[in-house]
Amino acid sequence: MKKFLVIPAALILVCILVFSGCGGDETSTPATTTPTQTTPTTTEPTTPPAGTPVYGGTLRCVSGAIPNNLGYPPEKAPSDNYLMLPVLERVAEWDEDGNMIPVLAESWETDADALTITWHLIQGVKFTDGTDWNAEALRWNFQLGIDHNTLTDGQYVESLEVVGEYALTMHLNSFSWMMVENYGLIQVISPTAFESSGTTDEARTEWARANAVGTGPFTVAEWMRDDHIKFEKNPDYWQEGLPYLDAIEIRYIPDAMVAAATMEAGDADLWMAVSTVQNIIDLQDQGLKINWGPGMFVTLLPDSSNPDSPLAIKEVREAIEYGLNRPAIAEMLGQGLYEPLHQMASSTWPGYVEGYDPRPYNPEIAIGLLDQAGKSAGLTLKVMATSAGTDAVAAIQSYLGEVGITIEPDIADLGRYFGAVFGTGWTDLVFTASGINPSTTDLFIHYGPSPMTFRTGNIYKSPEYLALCAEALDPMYTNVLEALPKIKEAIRQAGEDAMIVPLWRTAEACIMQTYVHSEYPKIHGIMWSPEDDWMEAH
Amino acid sequence: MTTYIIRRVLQAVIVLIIVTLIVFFVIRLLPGDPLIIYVAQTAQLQAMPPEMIEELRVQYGLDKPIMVQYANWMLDMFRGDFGESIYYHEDVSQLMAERFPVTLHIGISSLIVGAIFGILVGVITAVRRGKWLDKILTPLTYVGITIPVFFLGILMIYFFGVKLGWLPISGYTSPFENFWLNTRQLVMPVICMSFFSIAANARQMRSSMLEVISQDYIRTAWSKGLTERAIILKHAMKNSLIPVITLVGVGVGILFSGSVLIETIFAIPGVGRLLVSSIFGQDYVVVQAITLVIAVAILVVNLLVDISYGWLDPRIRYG
Amino acid sequence: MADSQITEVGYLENAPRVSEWRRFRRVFFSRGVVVFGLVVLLLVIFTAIFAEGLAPFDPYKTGTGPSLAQPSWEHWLGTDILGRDTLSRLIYGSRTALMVGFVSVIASSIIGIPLGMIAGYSGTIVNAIIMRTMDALMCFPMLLFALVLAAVLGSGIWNVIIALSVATIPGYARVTHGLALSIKENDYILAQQSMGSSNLRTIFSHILPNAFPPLIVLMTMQLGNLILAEAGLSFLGIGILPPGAAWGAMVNSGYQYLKISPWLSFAPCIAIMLVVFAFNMVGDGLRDALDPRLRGLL
Repeated sequence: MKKFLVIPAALILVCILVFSGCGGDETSTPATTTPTQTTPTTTEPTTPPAGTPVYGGTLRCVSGAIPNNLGYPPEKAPSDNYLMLPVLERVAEWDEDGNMIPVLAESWETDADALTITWHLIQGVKFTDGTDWNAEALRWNFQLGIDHNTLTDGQYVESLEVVGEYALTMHLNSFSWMMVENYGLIQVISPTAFESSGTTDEARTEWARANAVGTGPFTVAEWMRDDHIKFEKNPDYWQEGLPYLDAIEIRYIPDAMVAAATMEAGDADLWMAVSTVQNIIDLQDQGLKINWGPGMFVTLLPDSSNPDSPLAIKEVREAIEYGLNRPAIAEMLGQGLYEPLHQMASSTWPGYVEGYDPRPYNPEIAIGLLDQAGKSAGLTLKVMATSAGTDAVAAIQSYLGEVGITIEPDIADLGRYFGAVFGTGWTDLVFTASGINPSTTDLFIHYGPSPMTFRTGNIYKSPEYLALCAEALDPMYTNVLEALPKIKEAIRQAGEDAMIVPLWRTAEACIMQTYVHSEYPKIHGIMWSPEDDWMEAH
Repeated sequence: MTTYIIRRVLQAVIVLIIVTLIVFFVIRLLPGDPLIIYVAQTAQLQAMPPEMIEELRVQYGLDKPIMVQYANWMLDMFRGDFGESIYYHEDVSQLMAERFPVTLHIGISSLIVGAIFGILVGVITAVRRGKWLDKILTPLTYVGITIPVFFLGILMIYFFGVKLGWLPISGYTSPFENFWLNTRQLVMPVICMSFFSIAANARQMRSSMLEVISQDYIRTAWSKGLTERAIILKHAMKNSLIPVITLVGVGVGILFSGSVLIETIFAIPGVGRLLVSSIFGQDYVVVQAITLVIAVAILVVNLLVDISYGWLDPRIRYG
Repeated sequence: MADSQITEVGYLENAPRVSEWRRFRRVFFSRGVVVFGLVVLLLVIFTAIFAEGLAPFDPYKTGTGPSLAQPSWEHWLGTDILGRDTLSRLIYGSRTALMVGFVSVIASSIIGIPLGMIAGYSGTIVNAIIMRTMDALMCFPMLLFALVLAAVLGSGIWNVIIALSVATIPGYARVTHGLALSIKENDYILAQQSMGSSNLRTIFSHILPNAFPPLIVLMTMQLGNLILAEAGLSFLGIGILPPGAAWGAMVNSGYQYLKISPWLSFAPCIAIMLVVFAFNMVGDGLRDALDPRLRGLL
């Protein structure tokens, strides 16, 4: 009988341990830790940075996203793109300041009068299937995007001309500096590998979704959908002596707390694209290394182009801006890591208009404006958001309630949310977050004359604003720096029009163990040079 | 008996048809256009003209009347073709073949753990009623039936994964690849998932044991001088098991519900998580297929449980 | 003469009821945990009714204190990320919990009980249609069904209630159906019917009173399950809309501050556990007191 009881007794002991152990933990922690106010600055690694990179090792990453489509460009989602950078490289990319720098290209020439862009490619690069990277391969990749209508600005391409073994000229029917960025960011796959993978188009497509053959420092070694992907070193990589790592493994962990626990337990080396503030602060306190990304640009977008909407009245939009104490909300939600926004640009963005804050928090003015708009009796507005925006919407609701605007939250699942924001449109307001890139193309991608992400047809854009946007894209500018003055004018105009309600810039970080050296993410979701990553002995 | 089985199977077929109707129509009522979502997923930085959406609509048969779509869907099901996921661009049968074994592995382990430990705890607390073991275990069973499973998961991760470092925090490795790692990875999800059923089974077992123990034939057994072990194993337990078997049958449904939460927390690529992400992504082809398969599984288990009662307990009348 | 006879019959009918009530009280109050459960339940109901008076702060107002404040005399359970008072939200959360529980139970039993009754009492075809549909609904695990339905209907507490109600209808229909069938076979009811008593009368005067004990026990136990299911749905991001306060949602949004403010998730979690426990215990007590034969069935 005694023996009979041993197993359950052990079980109970374990259970008691769970509860008493955790209980003890909770009572002891708060005494030592208080919410830390941390500012987004680059943290020095706690160990002195070793001079020369060390070869070897498997970098174990955790991520809240995982590629679902490895190598079929026409169907790629953003996470498919940047997480596949170890395998599929770009023709050109941004540097930290937003200038375009070559990767698989050597250089490029633009001719605004002849409406051409000519790409000169680096020589001696091979895809991992042994075929050459050349002008024909680039032409094929561009053509694939054009045929499937998925190449950004593809509608401006008249023809593609191979002018040399390593030179490709694009003949365009219009020109702007943005095109170099949009075309140059293409991630290329091996045409031969794709073409020879099957007899039918369907078979080739299916193969490419699960296989990627590129020029990158790594190749795909293992992939389990929604679970993990493992990259192995490409021994014949074209950059001499790179990469340092033997392998990179990305594990998909959807819950941020679990990912944080994985980092804390030392089961992972690097956590990509972390946006949960408390996790960042906790892990930073524990001495882990943080690489800051630019975060997300958070806004409320009105359906102001609908004449029946109360938001078509400028005073109402202005009242919302005056009614929101953006610094206070950003401080709470971001625990010191968010930047409140006052204009359609963050201070980290080249297009930022210094000192421009048209509508600081002032509830009296807000009430007065609502009065002017004939809404003094009160106003009810819907705000659509995903469950990730619940706290933010509650804060907005609380502040706007004070000035007489009742907010009816509509928390939608991702499907319905994206359906509305990208497709069918929304009613009243929608709470959005969009990525920030180092160039000013954001403006045109998200809110410009022909936006490519949000369905901003819902938003009223004044003729003045649209004219300034058009001017900023004038062919006389060959790069973003030249166009900047015009872009700033457009941003100021959007502010004058109260076109959108800028809220705050969120924090985005890459967290890594102290022995990891990685530049990820130079810029959120956009850049990563995995060939340069390395780990100290640990 | 045979007529009963035939009738029961016929009933099940009718239920199955109603199940397909529910699955198809409820899910097609999802608001939002699945194609727009598809477009949104793929066209972040790329333009997608309206003609292409129409093209896709035709390609997925979404332009036809809904009854025709239902008929087509049923025909495809009979051919074992579950359609193609809009989000994953992959055969749903392939996706399910990847996911179901994982969920079943964890689910069946939890079912077994739940039954064994539940019965054990129930017997012990009944036999040792009022003793210290009972005083510790019985309150724990209360915790088991009341704690939200996701919170238990988080606590376990922090305690066993981070503080003690005994167990891997998350993930799933195939047992054929690395059996030891797989077992270690399974400990927390399985405990978490079976915690409720251990507690529920234990409570059930305890009360039916207490009832049986007080009955005459057990007293007779004591007076015959049989050992405690013999009495409990041979006499008392056997007769207390039937209500517990009912609970285990119900447990299959609870397991699929639990898998939704557990797989999200422990980052396990099972069918529960696939279902959640498909619901939120409105990938209704996948949602339809998975709910249908789960419903059919539960239908079959219940059918078997019903029929097996006949063998277990001849007193049950087939009315 | 006639009058006295009626009184006598009335007396005879009443006599066991009185002792029944005594027995009920004796059994129900004999177990400490049941009494504890009842006390907890009454306290929670009291809290929910008088939430306005009990809550020290407006639970929806942001910035009543600093963000993520530690417990203090002012904020007994600290504040959440938006500086809202946790205790006040916890108090208001009891309303949500009880509302989800009671409204769902009432809605599903109002639909499920008559369905089961009708099925049990009418001919084979109606019976088959109703009961096979209930069987079909039973094939969907509650949380999954509610998840899909809530996704169809959209977020919001009422949609969660609808989803949970629909998911729990078959349970009531089945129990009532089974009882209706067995009672219908009862000699005494057959006799009544042969004497020309109407179906409706039979249902109301005989079947319902007999079905009452198992149903009330089922409802009480179901309340706990519903509150747990709501917490699970909240964890997955389907549930109450801001600024509403619900325990499940509080656990979910609080657990990322587990390290610095554990009370944010522990307090609502303990509240959930207490209420679910209370409902289970009261259900147990009711079962033992009303009809001990139900043990093992419910």
